[in-house]
Amino acid sequence: MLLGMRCVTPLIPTEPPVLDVAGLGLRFGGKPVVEGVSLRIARGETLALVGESGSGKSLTARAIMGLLPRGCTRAPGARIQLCGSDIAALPERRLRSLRGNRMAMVFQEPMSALNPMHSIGAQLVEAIGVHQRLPHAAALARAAALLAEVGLPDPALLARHPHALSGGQRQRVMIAMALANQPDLLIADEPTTALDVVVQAQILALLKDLQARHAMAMLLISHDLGLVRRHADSVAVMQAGRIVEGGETASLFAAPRHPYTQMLLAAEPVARAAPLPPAPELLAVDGLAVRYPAPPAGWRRRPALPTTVVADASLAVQRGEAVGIVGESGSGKTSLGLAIMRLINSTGAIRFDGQRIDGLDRPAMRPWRPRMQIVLQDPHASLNPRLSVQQLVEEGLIINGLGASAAERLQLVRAALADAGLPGDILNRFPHEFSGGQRQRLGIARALAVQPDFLLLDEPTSALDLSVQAQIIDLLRGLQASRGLSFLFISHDLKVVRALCQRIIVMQAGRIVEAGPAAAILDAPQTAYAQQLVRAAFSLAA
Amino acid sequence: MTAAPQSYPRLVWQRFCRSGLGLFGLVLLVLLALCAVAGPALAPHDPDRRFAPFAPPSRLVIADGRLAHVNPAPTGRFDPVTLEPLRSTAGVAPGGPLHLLGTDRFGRDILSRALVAARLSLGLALVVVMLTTLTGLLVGATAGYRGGAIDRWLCRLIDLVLAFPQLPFYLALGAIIPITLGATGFLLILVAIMAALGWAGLAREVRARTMSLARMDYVRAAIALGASDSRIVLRHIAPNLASHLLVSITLNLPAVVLLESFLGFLGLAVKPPLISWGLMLQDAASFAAIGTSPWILAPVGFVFATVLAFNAVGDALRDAVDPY
Repeated sequence: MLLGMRCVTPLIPTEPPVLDVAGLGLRFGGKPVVEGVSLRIARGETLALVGESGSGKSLTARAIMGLLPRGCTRAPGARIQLCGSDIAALPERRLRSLRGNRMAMVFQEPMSALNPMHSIGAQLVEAIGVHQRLPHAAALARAAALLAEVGLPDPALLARHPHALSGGQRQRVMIAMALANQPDLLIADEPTTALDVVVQAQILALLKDLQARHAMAMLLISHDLGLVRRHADSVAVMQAGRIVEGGETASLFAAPRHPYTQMLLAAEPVARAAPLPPAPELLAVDGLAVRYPAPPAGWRRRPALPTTVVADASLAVQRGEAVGIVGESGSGKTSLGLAIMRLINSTGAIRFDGQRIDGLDRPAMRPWRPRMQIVLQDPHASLNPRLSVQQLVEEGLIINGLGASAAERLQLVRAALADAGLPGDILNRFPHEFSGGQRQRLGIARALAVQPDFLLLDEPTSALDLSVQAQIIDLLRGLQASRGLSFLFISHDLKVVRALCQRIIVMQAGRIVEAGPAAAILDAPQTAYAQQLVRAAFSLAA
Repeated sequence: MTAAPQSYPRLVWQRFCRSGLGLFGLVLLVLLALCAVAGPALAPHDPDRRFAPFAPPSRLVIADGRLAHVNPAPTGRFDPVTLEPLRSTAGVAPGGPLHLLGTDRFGRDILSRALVAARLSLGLALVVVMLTTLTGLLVGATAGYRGGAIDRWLCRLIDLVLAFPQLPFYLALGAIIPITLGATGFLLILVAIMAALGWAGLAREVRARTMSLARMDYVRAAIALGASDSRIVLRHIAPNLASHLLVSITLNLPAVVLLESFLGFLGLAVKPPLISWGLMLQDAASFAAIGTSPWILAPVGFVFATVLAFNAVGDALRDAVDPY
């Protein structure tokens, strides 16, 4: 049997491709979701599988690993060859001996892929021990060597548990685990989506380096075209379960032939927001701080100090201006936004249209609410599933007494839906019937219905596909131009911020480290952190 | 977007119909409800009329091409071990009173009594569950939405009720309640005590759920629109609790039916002349009686059917209420 034997390591011209998939079809409950997919990856090559969410990228990868979700079946007639031997027809027991051994996978979410109950060392030793018979001490030494290889040379890490590691460290551990048995094929399913921009660049550099050192074939699944352009040798574009275009990365990016590929490439935000003439100040924040109280201390113990998540933040937004707040996760962006909206407690001065609004309690804030609105990050959690579209958008009108009659309110609801780029015939539908992008538009329509002067957008595009993201950016720019709406735009994606914002604020660890006109920050960042952010965001796309 | 907008109840019903066991439970439930409503009319005999004591169930036979029944009669011989009279249908002519489930120690028809008892047993459970649900909802939602000191104190109260050793309490109750108390008074005290001890588990669930709902982004969005507390609770939290409550009710009802029958077995059932399944099972507390006349355990079948029906419906509902 070929299975026990490794592929010949030196590159021989006649060597079969590490992965050769032909005519792969997958069905979910009888409905075809993937059809006629063919992929070939040679040793040392990286193939990127790109496409929007729901296009079947991940399912294809899972089919190769033999890890299809329940209810999903493979259509007959597919060929999946690993180093020349057919693995499509192998029984589960045989597949198990290949998984994590000859082919390994790195998942998107490193927190849920690691077991929180076991130390890093124990999990690595297990990954090694499944396929190799090694004494425990030798396995532990190998685990330490693997961690060193993925850039975690501190042996103390072996004894730590996953929760004590950062997201980037966890993803490194996952990669070490995938490397444990020197696989021929490494499948990386959106390996950096859950990570911060700066960490993303590090992880990708690591993957590339490891691939070259171990001469692995890599299947990189991603929706990030900048990342793909930089890291993949060839690209396969997937749309609705089919590969619509494939080829060498450089030539494909230079001259995309299929309209879908062209659309994907055009959706990359590359524009820059035009500067605005000076305008009166609408929102001013001075010395704002957000502290979360410490968890209750034990019996007769001194209470711990509160955690400061935002310290001494000052900023200003002019009428009609879009200001972007960027920073990695945990930098206090969202807390700052919620504090400005007076949805969480804070100290420091907040002036809206010249008047202090900090210190107002909830009833006293009510007259201000229709003038300042918020669009929240997660379009799935921000809409009450039990309310229809009309009820959702109408709520602000009813609460604030806008619109004299039901008919007039309906008029306003329709206007808000139209402003958000939604059709008017969806009034009786419920949120679950809409896609992520449509839901985000619904959230925007709800905010627009009360005719605000100021809109806070908390990562409104991070959960969305690239093409939908481009539509939302266009929509927001249109609203800025037509209504003179001011935005505070929270994002970790500098490309989106560049396309929308006149000024940029960079936050790190709860403090504003740099602020200024967008052009100044993007072209000549002053602080080391801003430089790192700009480099990570744009060198990938270069 | 799907083709046609669907209302929430319709979606739930569609998903409910996917569960075969759930539908079976629903049919059973309808039959039980029929017993509760029309029990006295369905009963073949007056539940208090006396026939021969401990008469075994009638046998159904085909006589002259028609369905008839035979009541086993004493043969005059005795079981050599228990010295109980042996009965047989051999040579006995069809006819006599029909006892499909036999009679109890006073000679009352068990089927008739069980059908009549359905109203009290199910009604008692309904009242108790309504009270516990209301209390649990109020306490849980208040604790979960208000938080802070109110939450801490209400949680300790919930802990106290949950920590209460219920079984010894019920036993003590049997001794404490004055024997001269009438049947209705006794019933009211029983309901009050079951309700007082039963709400805490639900309150804890509702509290947790309210807390997570109050932190949902859509509640935050409603606050940003200027919504008042009452609007948030009524419009955004309550509707999302409703499905949970519905499931909790369907799972708590059989628990109370079970508790009632169990208390009856311990001798703490409703008092005659009221009839409940628990009271009927009081007779089954004597092992000798079960040994010689096992048919007096028949009310267990009704309790079993109730628990099965409600649990099947509850399970199917739990899967169905979250169609999104």
